[in-house]
Amino acid sequence: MRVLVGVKRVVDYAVKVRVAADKKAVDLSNVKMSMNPFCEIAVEEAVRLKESKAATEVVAVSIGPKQAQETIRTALAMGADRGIHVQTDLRTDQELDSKAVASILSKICADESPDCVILGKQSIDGDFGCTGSMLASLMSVPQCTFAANIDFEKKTVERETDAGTEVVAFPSLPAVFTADLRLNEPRYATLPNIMKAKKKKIATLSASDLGVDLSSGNEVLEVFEPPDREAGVFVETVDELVGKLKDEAGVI
Amino acid sequence: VLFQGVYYWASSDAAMSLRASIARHASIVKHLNMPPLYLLPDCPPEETLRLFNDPFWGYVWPGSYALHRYMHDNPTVASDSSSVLDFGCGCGLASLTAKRLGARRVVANDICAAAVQAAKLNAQIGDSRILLELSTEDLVGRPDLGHDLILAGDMFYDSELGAAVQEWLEEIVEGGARVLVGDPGRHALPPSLELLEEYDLPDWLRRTNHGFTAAGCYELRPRKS
Repeated sequence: MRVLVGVKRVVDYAVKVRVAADKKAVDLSNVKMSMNPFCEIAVEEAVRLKESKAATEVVAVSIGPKQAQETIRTALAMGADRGIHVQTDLRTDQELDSKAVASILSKICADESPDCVILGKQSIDGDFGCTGSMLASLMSVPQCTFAANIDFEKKTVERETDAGTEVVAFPSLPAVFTADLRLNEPRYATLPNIMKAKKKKIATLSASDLGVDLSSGNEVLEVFEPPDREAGVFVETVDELVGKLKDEAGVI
Repeated sequence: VLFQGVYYWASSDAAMSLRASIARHASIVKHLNMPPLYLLPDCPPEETLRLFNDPFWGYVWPGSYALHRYMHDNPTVASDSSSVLDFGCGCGLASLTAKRLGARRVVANDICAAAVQAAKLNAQIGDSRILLELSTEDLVGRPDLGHDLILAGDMFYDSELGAAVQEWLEEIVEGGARVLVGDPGRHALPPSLELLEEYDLPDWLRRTNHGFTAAGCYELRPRKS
């Protein structure tokens, strides 16, 4: 079984992002970038499939500037076999939208014919959470999103919902899965694996050569920081609390 | 008389200083069923990384592990050999095993100077008196150097290198030498290799080789047979 995983280069989760001066985007200059945490979980799942002999090959795909190759190298160091870099200078946090990403991935899948595609459930920059579903739709294959556990033998997925977890069955492969937090705990890429990853192959394509509409369906009007949290107020009695909740906060 | 293509480093200052650095940054680690070896931690400190570029010798590779296990299981492979070439020796595991099991002469070859010095250091751990000949020549494409056993562990990690290595080894095997290849089954591995034995990788080896759970010892057969 060939597994394809999408890995996105995003602002590192620990960075305190700042809004650019023109308020049109987040300031990315000199900011630490890393693999999207949900993509790490996706790669880990794929590598475990290879280690359990369920998969024979893991291909890591990333869309972005030249530096996206570093993200692919991290996937290779975690155990992926080879990488595909789709080059674009469009900003992947807001200029390239989910539909464009899904269209690009669908073209890649047409060439690679994976039996299984695993993506992160969402990116921590765009947070749209759409790509997996859109890709499944374009490929006309089943989708199992927010996966907390995938059983390839029973063909069931335990998925996260707001009310708890539910178990769904998928009829067949190929299928698209999106990884949620509980799916696994990703391994670290250690030096021996990083050294070996340098020798693995990464093929580069240009997004504009794929014959895909890269224009975004959204236009970003403004990017701003959430308003500062205001100071709280001490109340003396329960009546005063109820009064404030009713008259000032308007929540009861 | 120096054997063609073999340089003996032991007396040079550069070699001694390299061995001293290796001994300072690596520690002797003895895993189950393995000889003690100078190995690096999974995440070496900054100063180690600054000093050594891509220290492949600091880790045991799955292919040489498979060769080591196969020779132990089949000791006559080594004891019947008069001259062994460990091609791409890294830390020298395959060389040490071949010599310990009775091969008369073993040449540990790696284009990385630190690797052959690590191999020499590993040959001297504890009470060892193992003599290895060291070579840092790029041997790919060189005509038969007179060895009767070639050990090639993890030399197919790269398609281009793998193709050149395959062509060279096929020439050597035509000349009558025995060629054993150790590999966890990478993409560039030529399908013309015959699998002799497969070994499960122990946990400590899986950790440094994400994605691989086993490694095979293969034999390159001559085209005629």
